[in-house]
Amino acid sequence: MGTHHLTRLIALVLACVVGACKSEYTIADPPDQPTLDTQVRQTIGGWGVVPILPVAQQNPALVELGRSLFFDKILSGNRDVACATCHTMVDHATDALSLAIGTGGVSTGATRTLGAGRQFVPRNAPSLLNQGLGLFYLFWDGRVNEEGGIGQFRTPTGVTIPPQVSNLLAAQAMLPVLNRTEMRGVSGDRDVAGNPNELATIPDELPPQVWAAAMRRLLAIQEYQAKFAAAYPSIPASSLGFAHAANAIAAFEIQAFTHSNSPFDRFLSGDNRAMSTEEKRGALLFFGKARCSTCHSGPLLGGQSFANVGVPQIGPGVGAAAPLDIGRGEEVQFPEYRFAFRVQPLRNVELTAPYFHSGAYPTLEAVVRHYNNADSAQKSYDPSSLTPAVRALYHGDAATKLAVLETLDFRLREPLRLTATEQSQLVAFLKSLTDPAARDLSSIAP
Amino acid sequence: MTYRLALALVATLPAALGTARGQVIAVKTAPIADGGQFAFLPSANLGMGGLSIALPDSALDPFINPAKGAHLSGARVFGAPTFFSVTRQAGGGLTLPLGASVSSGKWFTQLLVAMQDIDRTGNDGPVVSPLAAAEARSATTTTTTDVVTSDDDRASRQNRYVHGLLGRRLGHGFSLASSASWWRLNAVDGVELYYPVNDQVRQHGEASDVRIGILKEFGPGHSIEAVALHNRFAMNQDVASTETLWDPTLRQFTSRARVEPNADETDTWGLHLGYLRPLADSTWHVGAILTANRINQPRLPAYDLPEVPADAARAQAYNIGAGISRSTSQLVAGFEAIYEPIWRHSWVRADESTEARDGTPIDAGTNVLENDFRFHNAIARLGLGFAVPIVGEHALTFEAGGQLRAIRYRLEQQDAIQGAHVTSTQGWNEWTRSWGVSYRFAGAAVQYRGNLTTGASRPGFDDDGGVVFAPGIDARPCCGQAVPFGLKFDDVRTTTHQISFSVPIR
Repeated sequence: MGTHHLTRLIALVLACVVGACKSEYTIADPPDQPTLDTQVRQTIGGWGVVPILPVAQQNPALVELGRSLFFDKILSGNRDVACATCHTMVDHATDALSLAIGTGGVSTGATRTLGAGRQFVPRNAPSLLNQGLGLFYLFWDGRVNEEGGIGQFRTPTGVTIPPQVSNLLAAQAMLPVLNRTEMRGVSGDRDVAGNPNELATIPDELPPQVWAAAMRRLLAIQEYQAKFAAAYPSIPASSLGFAHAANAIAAFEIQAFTHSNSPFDRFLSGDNRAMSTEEKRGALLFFGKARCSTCHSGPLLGGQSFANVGVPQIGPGVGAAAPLDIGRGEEVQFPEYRFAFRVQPLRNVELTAPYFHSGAYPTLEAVVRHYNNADSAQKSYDPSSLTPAVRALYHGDAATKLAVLETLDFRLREPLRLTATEQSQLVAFLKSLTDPAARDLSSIAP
Repeated sequence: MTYRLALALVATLPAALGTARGQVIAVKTAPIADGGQFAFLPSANLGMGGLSIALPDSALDPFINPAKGAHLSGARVFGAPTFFSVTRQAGGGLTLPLGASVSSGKWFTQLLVAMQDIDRTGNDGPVVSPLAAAEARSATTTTTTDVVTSDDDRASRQNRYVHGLLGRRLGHGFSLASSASWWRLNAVDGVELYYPVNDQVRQHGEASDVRIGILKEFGPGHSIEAVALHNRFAMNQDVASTETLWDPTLRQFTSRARVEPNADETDTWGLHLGYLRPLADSTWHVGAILTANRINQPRLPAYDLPEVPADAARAQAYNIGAGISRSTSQLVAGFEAIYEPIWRHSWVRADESTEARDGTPIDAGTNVLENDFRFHNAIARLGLGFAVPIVGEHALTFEAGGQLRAIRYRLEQQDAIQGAHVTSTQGWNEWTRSWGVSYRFAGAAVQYRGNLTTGASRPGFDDDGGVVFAPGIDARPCCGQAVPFGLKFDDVRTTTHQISFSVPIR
């Protein structure tokens, strides 16, 4: 066998080997796209969406006091409403109503109805889920906030928050007891036992007296004396104020309603398998084409800004603009804030229907449809999903619609043009923000 | 190259070690360039594509089958300084091996020690956190006590290697020998690139290889051999990174150092048989090999790259090959082909009880992801050498060759959480061109050999070395998670140069 034979043999065998390799597999040119996981991580990266540390462990005695206060109707003037009335455990710390129903209402949750002569609370009761994750604005119009710096609580005109209040959530807890529609009642009311409502007789401009009266109610009860003593062992009973009760309520809310272990959170922490493909595609839309993240950004996916997203006007109205509700525009006198409301943080949003400040939409699908074309959705809003009593408060006149759309957020002035599939993917993503532990809060109730 | 090509990265590093030593079959699940870190042993055939089946390699064979140390004669010292580099600053290093062999009577022995220095790769340093880059106003840093600090910039990236062999000629053509090798490893080439969000990777570990071999020679160029081996690779990779989080209590972003230990362990048991015989014309030889490996990977690292997740893996790998060669006074040529079927199974186990997407409960300890790989790999090598006599025993030899390594596999994944079953195929070719020149005189030899491998990649970053924001995303300084925006896989070329010498000392 000569050298040329060897060369031919080698060439033949080499061709066979390479040929055999190609017979079963196709080495396609890979697309110039990263994997879906990588795309999602890349897309998220620019929006400040990061994992959330656990909240600090709260003082157990404080939490226990807060739990008792949260579920106790003694804090309402007529002794018929507790925090838990509008933030029920069954409804994931909200009430499943478009507009909340305060003192005088009948029943609880979705079946709650107005009492005789009462009116709706002007806005939807926001869920307390994750309100303790470090928000800087509370309430739909952000009227309780720390714009002036940490610990510098800003509140509605005329209300000075006592210095003993420890955090923004506690500052918020100071306010419902002052609100006549929500908890305090109106002058002349009698409580459920037929006794005069002493809280309702105090003039509105004297919040400290309302708080003091509420504290007198609490400290008249031996059980509360013991719980306050346990929560504040170094403070004599004579020095206790409603701020201490509010701090306890806030501690309880932080402890009980913080649920941030959703599939999305697990994905953020590195678990690519925590989310389904549909949810990840929804995330790409959320942080991309659908522009949701231009407002719903940061670690809480919202909560730090205000926007007019063209939500239908429903309700008795607020302040000078009543019967309309111009939201943030009532608090700050800038035209661009007319009809702007707080951009809601979105964790567990699946559980907190109905949506928006007026509870205008019953499902996430309807919310996404609204965003897909806010202008059209505002003009063609169908209030049939509202209860008759709330439907009667829908302001569907052309002038109101036009007024709302005048200051519509610039990001929504053009339709998003999301396909039905994309809308479905967005909803899937929003549902991936649900911590399974938040689905059942029944164990929280005492 | 793109992300998809790195879908299954696991097992790459031990594979790199495997490629350096025959009879340890490399299981590569991604076209990641091996580099040349472990390919420093002296080899007479390196310039001819690394032929080994039908063409004896007088320098390398004793490292493969210690019984082939029976061919050693007298006493010699030898060395093989070896340099390798990976383009795009994706790896490189220098190894200085120095050894001696002695054969006296029925006994023969060999000892080799080596020091190795591995280059830092492009991503070994502060990286890629948008937060860090943005000088986030409110960020605070907490540092764990065991964080990799800047002191580690001075940490050793030097590895040490020692190899010993002892054997005996038993008579009637039989030889029996055993060898042991041990690595102290402080750096494996390119590891930092597999953790693109890292601030620093501290590596430490060891590798060992124990072999026992037997050789039966029936006559010149006619032999049968068997080798049994155990190879162990165990590395720890402490990956330090800066993690950005939201602190709800302080209501601010915070960053903290995180050190995540990653272990990479591979145990390989192997059995190898080889047969070589001359054809009628004694210048021709044919050979055949059969190798079986049982590979156990009890712990696998979690690279920060798109990959097939796996906590552990098992594999059974085989190769069967045949070769032919011709050696005359002036010509050496050979060709060989190897087929490698491999079955690999890897899995992810649930650390805690969880549930599938459809609500089915999944107990802790249950496999939630199973990956079944079926490989059909092939290797073909071709080599040629021409000797040019100069005068007397002086001769100059020129060598050239090449190797094609074709890797093909089918992957079936069963995801218990998503309830999904996915099948995919992957394949790529790695080409190696080699060359060499050697000069022999008075029983001594000085050789230069080199090779260039293409067809594989390494992770890298965009040319500006930093983060690239996705189109349409506001790139304002913010508080984002550290995400390797510009991560991509670059085609790289790996070049190895070896200058070896062998000198008789008596």
